[in-house]
Amino acid sequence: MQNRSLRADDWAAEALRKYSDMVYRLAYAQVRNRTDADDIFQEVFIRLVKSSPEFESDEHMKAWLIRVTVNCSKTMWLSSWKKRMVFWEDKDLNRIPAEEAPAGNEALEEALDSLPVKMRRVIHLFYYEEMSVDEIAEALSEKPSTIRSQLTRARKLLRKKLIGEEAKRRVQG
Amino acid sequence: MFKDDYRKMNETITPGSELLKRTERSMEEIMNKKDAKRVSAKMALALALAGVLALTGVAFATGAVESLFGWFRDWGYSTTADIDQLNELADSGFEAESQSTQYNGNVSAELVQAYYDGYQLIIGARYQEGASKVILGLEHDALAMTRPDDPAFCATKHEPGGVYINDDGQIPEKSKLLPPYIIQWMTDEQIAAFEKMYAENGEAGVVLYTAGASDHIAVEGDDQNRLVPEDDHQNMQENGVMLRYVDFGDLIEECRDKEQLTVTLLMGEGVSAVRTDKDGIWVAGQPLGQLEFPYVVRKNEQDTTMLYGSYENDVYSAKAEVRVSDVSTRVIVDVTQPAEWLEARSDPKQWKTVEFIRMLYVVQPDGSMVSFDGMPTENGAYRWETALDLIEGQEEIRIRPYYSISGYQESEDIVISLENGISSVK
Repeated sequence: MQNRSLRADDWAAEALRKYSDMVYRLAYAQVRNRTDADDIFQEVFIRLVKSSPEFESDEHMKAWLIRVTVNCSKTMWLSSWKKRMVFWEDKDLNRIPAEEAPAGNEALEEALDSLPVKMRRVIHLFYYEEMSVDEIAEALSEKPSTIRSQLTRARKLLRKKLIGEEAKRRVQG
Repeated sequence: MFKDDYRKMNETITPGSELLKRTERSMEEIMNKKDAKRVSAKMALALALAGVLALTGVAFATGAVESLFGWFRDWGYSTTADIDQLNELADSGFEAESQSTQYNGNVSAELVQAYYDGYQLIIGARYQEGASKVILGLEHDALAMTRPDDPAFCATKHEPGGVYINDDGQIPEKSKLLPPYIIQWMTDEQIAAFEKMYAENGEAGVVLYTAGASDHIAVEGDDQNRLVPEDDHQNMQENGVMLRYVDFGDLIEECRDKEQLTVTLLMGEGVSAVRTDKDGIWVAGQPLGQLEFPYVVRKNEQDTTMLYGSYENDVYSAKAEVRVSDVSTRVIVDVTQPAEWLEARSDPKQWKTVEFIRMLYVVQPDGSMVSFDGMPTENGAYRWETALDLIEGQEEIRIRPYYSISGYQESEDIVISLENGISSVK
């Protein structure tokens, strides 16, 4: 009988070490607050050890983690009353504190907030994880044409929003 | 340009160290539980006492879980005790303190199972979340919150139909005049009435009083909210029903060994106001308070066996307590610590320069290690504790300190024998 634990050479510990930032950032990109991102992060890695899938390669594991992170984020969106009960005064409590965020990105943060979650997801995988449209489509079980169209629409919306912010700043300035 | 900005923004978004530690611990626990063939803690003890250590493997049937102990079994808790019997115990071990399991008809919190043996409290609960009141129209005072020109309030604004595009398979889109997290609390008739109001007036409003399960469950004796559940498994069903199984772990002294405990399920209540006009959908909300659903949970007659062990040298002393019940085996170790240990523990820079007990481990029969959780006590000592599954053929529980510089110290093992039911110290 072999008792597995998270030793340095353990596959699960390795997965946590290697993909923790990726999973966390993808979760945050979708839910846009730390509390929910924390919950999703933990759930993803718990699912990993509970189901212990047989991975053919690192890329396979990465794709699995992306898929499960996306699924957990969807569940999070649906799951709890408190997540959907928008108490205005609490809205910003779980955001990345301003001092931790690089300066000058408020407009980008706001623009991202205004995007539907599926677009934020695709934007993140494309621009941060540098995945191709085909890779994203495969990881999310979508058609490449769907991903391409989401990406195009997201870019348009972001451009519109960011240009709007810039124009506002100019007027105010 | 966008790519650079986006990447730069994301560099600061990383999981915190506490989250990483917590996740690693959870993963470790699950892996240990998954791979170890478990036998009932009590059965292992009883058979060890009888000198019969050649235990037969115990197969667990797993599957859909609808009960407290079925859930426990699937989550790898050590129990081969009669699940039906334990469930029967949990079915009848409580009663509602009042009739108030429902609030305004369609919001409720109900205790469905409870197990309390004096040391451990585990409950199963069912929450029905929903709107207790939905008021259509533009007259309600709460709608003032949605006026963006009122400096007292801020409202979040959505573009009608523009923000919530429902092709994620999330929430069926019923109206472009309301966001989905509001729509879910409304009936089709109410949504239709809202749309009609908008079509006729160019403006429509609705105020909703909603309630949802609180993260907190109040337990009598835990006046300062020190009781943090060890496991809190929440399962969201359809139509706002949430099933929840909570193991409070090691109870604080104030909750131990009582004839009965009052356990109060809580729901948070809030009001949301939505006003939709030609410029957008304006949403604002406020929390209102808490709904309480109290239950009395009676102590059951289940046996708990206590075992003890200790170790002492010139520098420190350690006392171990092992509690074995049908449901779990729990190990608690109190270690005294000199002042320099106390200081070094809180300063990672000293971990390579000051020799002190940094961790405790339980050495499993196969040689693998299960780490403890530790925290300082009020009297300056350090308390370590963990839940443990006894493993087939296990004759003893062995606890080993891990020093900051020299690592494991086998010579300071605390060994608690399961063979004769008493502790022995190496």
